[in-house]
Amino acid sequence: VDIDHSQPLDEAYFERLFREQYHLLCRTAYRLLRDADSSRDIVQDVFARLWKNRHQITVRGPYAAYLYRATIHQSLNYLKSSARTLNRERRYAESTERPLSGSRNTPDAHLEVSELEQTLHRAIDLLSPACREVFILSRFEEMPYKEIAQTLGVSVNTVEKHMVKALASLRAALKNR
Amino acid sequence: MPITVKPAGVVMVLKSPDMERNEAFYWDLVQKQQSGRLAAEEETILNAWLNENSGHRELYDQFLSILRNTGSYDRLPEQDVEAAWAELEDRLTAAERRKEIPEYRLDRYLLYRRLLRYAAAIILVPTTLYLIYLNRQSRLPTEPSLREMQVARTGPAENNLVILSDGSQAWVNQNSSLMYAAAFEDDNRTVYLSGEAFFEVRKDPGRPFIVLCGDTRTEVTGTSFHLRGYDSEERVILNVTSGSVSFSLINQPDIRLNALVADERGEYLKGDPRLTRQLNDDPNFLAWHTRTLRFDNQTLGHILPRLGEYFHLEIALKNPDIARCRFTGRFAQPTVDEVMELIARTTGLEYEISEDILVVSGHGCNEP
Repeated sequence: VDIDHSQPLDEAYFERLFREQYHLLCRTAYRLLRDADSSRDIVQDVFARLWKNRHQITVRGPYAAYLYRATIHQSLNYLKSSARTLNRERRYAESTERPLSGSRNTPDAHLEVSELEQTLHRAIDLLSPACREVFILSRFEEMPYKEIAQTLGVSVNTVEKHMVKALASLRAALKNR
Repeated sequence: MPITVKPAGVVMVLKSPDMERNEAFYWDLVQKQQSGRLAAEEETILNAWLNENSGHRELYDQFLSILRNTGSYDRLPEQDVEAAWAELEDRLTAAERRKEIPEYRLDRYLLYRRLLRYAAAIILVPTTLYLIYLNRQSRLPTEPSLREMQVARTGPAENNLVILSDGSQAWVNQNSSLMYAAAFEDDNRTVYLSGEAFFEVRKDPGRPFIVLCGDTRTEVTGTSFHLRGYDSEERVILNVTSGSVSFSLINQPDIRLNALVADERGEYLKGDPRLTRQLNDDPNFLAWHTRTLRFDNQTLGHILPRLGEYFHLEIALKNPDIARCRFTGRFAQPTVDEVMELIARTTGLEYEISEDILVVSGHGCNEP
């Protein structure tokens, strides 16, 4: 996977990156968005932008790390910008689609997941948006609080406060089973 | 932007190093321990904490349980990489043919694509289709067609200049998005703002320039103004810098301020169905754009929160009397140290910056 990234990205390498990283990046977006289709769209966008801007952008470190960061940023932006306009439509779309396409919005349905896991997944879903973002970046991206703060544009203090709240909610979910 | 600044005059109590170690701190250690990234000194801290009392042990067990049972949160069914690659290739070749990929794509477009994907399912139920049709119909008068719109979006501490098709310019401040037509319509120039921007609008009396932001509608023919309406803030604020601007509520067009002129400000408090007109007394409302700061014998209680916003810092005063000190000065493209060194020197205070917090200490001032 090591590359000389002073070289511009060529087509063969771009395709290889796509095939190697696609699933992982979809998962990264999916943690934040909890919607497989939007996640795939975000990842497509990230790759399209990388290709389009391949001569302009300087990628520090491996391309995979860049793709990963870009996916997180795009997903967060998507959450933020869609909070007002899209949620209404998404809720609407979901309420009309669910009876037809089954439980695509309850991802656990198709997978072998224990009851405790399901309880916690639901608890994560129900966190306030800010707490959920902080928890996910800490738990899954293993970002230090300082980096989370930079990513979300808030102070480290705020991040820690959200984290404490998120942990309290999840611990309550453990207890109330 | 998300406000990270305390309102003027509020004194924050600084945390002692001990209090820093909240649950979040230990969660981080437990996580590092579980993934083998724990440094030796951190291990000592963690073990000492665990041996302190049984409550800590219980917390530790709960953290472990959370870690072990959330690993499946992001499990997705195997993705069809081939289909995805084919789709991307199509998109890139199509774009190359058109010689452009839109710089920013529309969230609405994502939704649209998803709706298409599920169209087959939806068509099975005519009532659903009818509802969607009604929904779309009801949106038509205010929202333009999907294809021709573009979005410029900024992240934290980032701002961008957008040049619109009529030559008007919009400087978009951080954490904002501006949606606009690639080519404006013949009878109006409408853009959609979420966040903060400064507009310099080309004169065109036959084609009003309209900004929709939250519940508000700002209409001009040719002028410059600043509009701030973040989702996270309770107010939408309009500052006029030249020309004449009309400010109204989208759903209650009779609530409006006509002919706001330079140095006037229109304000809307979300949820309160009225608009107020006042004088813009803040010389720094465009500091993010002009990169200049100006203070005229104001108190630090007023100045420091503004510096905090400008430099993206939290403010902490070690002593409430600090807020009473006054300062006069002007800065062009300053660094935080340039500003703070001058303030510290003229007021006899000290400051330091750590972890994005600007801490000011010293005797402060007694004058009221």
